[in-house]
Amino acid sequence: MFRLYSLSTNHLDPDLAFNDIAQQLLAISHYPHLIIGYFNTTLSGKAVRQTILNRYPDVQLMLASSCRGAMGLSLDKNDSFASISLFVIVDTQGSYVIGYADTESDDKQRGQTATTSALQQSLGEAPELIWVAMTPGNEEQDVAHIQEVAGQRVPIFGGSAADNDVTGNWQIYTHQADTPVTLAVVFLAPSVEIGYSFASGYAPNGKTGVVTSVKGREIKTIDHQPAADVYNRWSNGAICEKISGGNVLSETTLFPLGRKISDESFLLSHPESVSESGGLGLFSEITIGETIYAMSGSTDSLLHRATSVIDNATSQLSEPEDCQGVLLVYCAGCMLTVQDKFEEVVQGISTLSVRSPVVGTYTFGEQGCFFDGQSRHGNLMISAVVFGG
Amino acid sequence: MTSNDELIKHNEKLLESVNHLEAKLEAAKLKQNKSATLLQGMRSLIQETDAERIYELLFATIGEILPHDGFILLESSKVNVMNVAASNQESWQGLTVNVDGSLKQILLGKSLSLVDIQQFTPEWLKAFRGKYHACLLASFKLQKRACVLIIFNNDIGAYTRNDVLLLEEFTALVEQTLASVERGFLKLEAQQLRADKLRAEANMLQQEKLASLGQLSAGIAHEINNPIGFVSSNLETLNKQLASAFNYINALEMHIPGEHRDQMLNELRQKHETEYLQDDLPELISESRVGLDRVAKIVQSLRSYARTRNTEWQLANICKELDLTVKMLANEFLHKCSVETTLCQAPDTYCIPNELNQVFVNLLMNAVQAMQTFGHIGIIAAMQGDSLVITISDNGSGIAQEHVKKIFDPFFTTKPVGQGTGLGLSITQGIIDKHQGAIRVESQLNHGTTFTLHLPVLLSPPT
Repeated sequence: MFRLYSLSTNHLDPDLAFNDIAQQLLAISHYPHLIIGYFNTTLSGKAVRQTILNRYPDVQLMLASSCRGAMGLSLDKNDSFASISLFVIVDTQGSYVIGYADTESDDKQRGQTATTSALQQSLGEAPELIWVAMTPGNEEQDVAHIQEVAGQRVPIFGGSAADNDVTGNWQIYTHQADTPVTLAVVFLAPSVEIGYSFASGYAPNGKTGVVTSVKGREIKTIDHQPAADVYNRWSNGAICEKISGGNVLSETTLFPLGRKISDESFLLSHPESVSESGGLGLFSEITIGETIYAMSGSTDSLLHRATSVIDNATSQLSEPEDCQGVLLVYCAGCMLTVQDKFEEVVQGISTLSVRSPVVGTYTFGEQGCFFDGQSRHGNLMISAVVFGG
Repeated sequence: MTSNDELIKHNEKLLESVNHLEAKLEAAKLKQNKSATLLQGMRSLIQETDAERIYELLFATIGEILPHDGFILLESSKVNVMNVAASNQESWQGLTVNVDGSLKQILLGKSLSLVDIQQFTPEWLKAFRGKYHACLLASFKLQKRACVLIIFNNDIGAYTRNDVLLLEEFTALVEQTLASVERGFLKLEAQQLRADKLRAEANMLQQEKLASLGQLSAGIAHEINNPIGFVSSNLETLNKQLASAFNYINALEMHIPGEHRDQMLNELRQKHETEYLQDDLPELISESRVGLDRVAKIVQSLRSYARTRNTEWQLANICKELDLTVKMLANEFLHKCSVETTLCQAPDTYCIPNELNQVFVNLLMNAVQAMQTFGHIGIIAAMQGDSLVITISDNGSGIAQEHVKKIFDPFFTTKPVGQGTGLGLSITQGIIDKHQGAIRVESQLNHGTTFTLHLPVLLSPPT
């Protein structure tokens, strides 16, 4: 038996929110095997965790904070910014295990720690897909470390936990510990077919250069010129007011930098700051020698992107009309850019022929698998994992 | 929305469609290549009967669709034990593993992709992990034996769940292919056996028929010789009498002068018994005709019986066939037994008359041969429902109980060596079976034997 449920609440008051979710959990007629949940950091992640475990103490549970709330769509409700949104899986023939790395774990090895733990629980059996949540800052290494243990071929999807104001209040919990963890991996081996898609809502605008100097996640120079200057030219002056330094997150959302994955696919990096030395800080790593492309997006494309990503993922199913549910990752930067019109995103998803439970998170970094079969970390990306019949 | 936005949006959609279609095309090509490889592999496989060669082809084919660095094929050898039937490493050949819970799961149909057997592996697999990391495991049946196919890869996480499905498809295809080949072989074998059996039965039937005809030949010769003898004798007598008649006529012509003619004629009639000739000649001729008719009938029967063996099903009346056989064997019964025949009006039925005649000859000749003194044979044919039931009873020597069970076995005989082939009743049973009937025997030693035949009325030839 395979069943999916989307549970969500809009209450911002903790008591009301927990009570609402507890009531909805009570209404599920079968004991769930896995719950993946997202919540607004206005609520305590620990309390959300406890509310769920009070009802289902043996469930595999992963919770992560999501920027300004999370998406929760079901037959009877469309919550774009729910304070809690839970994706509940009942699957008697499937297999779901969760591994995690806590704050005690070595940051450099946390991907290995969490994945090894999950692999041990699955008795060495390969998952069909690894769903992840990680704190921002080290995602490329995290993905690489996960792949060191699980191999390169299993697709990795998920997102970096987020908060509402980029103050570092992001949180991740699993059922195993009542203290926050830094990285969680969910081994998904469902009894049903799955499909997935990982894409951006941007296209190259024709300008390109080679990275000639970097320091961590900061590009110092492009084609041996200060990166901020080059970027400002490419984006027709998007950061001209902050060219001498400052946070440029909101100014750059529609003009990310891209790296070519294939002829038509680009992995995006979101410029978030300009350093005093004219460097461009990113939410992802770019190495010296890589060719980067100036990308352009539009609010309209961001508003409709989720629909097409879900549609693409669904079309991978042998019977797309049997899609039973969707896990969606939507870049928080993109969401913030179109937040005022975000109802259009939800409406777009609702117009899909398949009306199934959808749970979405707004993240500070996205991990996903491109058509080339490689899983990567990127910015300003949207991904969807769909479950078939 | 600006025209630039629209252009970007349009461009995105276009790129996305291209991406999507390219990915689908790539996947379709990959699938097509793999299917072609599988098909080719299966074509090669079905031509092989040698196990080792089958293993070689198996791994060569799977290597094309699922690259690997090592392999093992485990096959069930004893209860809860499997042994290595094939492997890329010679040192593993013949090694055994105990079937524990995890291996049992695989044997029951759960296929697995293990990420890294250096880290996490079932106990039974440890002996084979070497330097390998990832492995795929699936079970299937190979020539009726439960097997587990394992392929190894040097890379961690080399196999995905899609690969598991691919391996399952492969093993299912191999299983089906080999099973259908096996079924084909069995079918051919069964057909061959059936054909051989029919041919052997036909040969035996012919041999028995020839033997029976040999036994009959003496009686038939006797039957033919008798009428031929008296016909010859009668014709000789007739010839002499005709000569006398001619002499009489000649003399009559020579000695008739005129006035003493009547006296002379009377004298001549008395001398040559012409009145007797006038009475006797028609009788002689009549007897000759009867004799010749008998010869004609016997010859006709003989020819009918011995005509080229016809195994075609045809509508015929079994009671008439039985009657014909009894009449044919009349000479065999002579001086040995009396025969009482009670035949019903049976409907025509599809049968092979020649073969049923063979049955009746076999049973009646056995009955005759069982007579140590002058005995009796009772033949009754009666309808019971849709079946004709024929009983042939004799009061001969009977059959010992220990022999009753064996009398339908080929080559079983109680007759002295050289006097019986032991095939008669075996053939009889085969013929009755072919007619969808049944034969039963009841016998008491020194009391007699009764054979009962149940022959259903067939409205069409059996298929």
